[in-house]
Amino acid sequence: MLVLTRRLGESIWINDDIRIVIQSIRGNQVRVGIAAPKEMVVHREEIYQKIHQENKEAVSSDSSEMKTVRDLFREMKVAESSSQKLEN
Amino acid sequence: MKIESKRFGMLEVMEDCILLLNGGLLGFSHMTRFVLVDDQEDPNLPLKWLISVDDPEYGFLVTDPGIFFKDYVFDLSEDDRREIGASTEDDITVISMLTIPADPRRITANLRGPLVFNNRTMTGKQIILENTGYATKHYIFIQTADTEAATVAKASAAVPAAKIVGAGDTTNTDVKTHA
Repeated sequence: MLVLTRRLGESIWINDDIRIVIQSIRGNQVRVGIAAPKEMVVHREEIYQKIHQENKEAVSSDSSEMKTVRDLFREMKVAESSSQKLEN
Repeated sequence: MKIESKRFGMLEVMEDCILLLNGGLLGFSHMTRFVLVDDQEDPNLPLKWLISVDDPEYGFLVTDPGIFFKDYVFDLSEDDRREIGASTEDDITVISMLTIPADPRRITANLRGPLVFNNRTMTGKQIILENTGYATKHYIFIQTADTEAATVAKASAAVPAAKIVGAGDTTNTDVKTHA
């Protein structure tokens, strides 16, 4: 990993189109400004990892579980339609 | 075109039904083309399968989050709106991915990373909501889960719709500018 030391207000360019600026430093918190083309996706690591993880978990699982899931959705549909009947 | 997999069998897919996800799904960026199909066993249920055209063994269970979370609202940035080419709200469809844990009654919806797509052009992307109270796991069947689940759902319902950028707290305030 390339490690660079920067002071407050100084920046780093990556290629010709990404600029990273140290905007403020307070204790152990650093505020970083990122100017990048819009197709460039920027996320905080922990949020990125969370979605990443959730997507992996969301890959369709065993079909035996799907039976229960379908039943749950069916029960929900029944509940909805019976309440509509009551209103009518 | 025909796509075939062990999991979903043979599917005949019309070219104009293929959903193109810019950047793919996080963690699966090699898959960008998907089809949304009804559940074959019970097509009337409010769930669909998002199946990868590029690798049809991969399917994700998805639903319309509005059915379960009536107050689910988030801001779609101008950039995202432009990227999917949506000019009006009517163009935009939002779906949430579902995760089935070992106990399927505790199935959750990912409200933090919804998929948005333009239903005219069938172009979309997975967006990650910043500065939001929504999480990657929200129980959808509250009556079957415990009180912890109910708390989670309540907390999510109370989230304000507006995204606060640049207000007070510097810890979680992001401003992205474009070069």
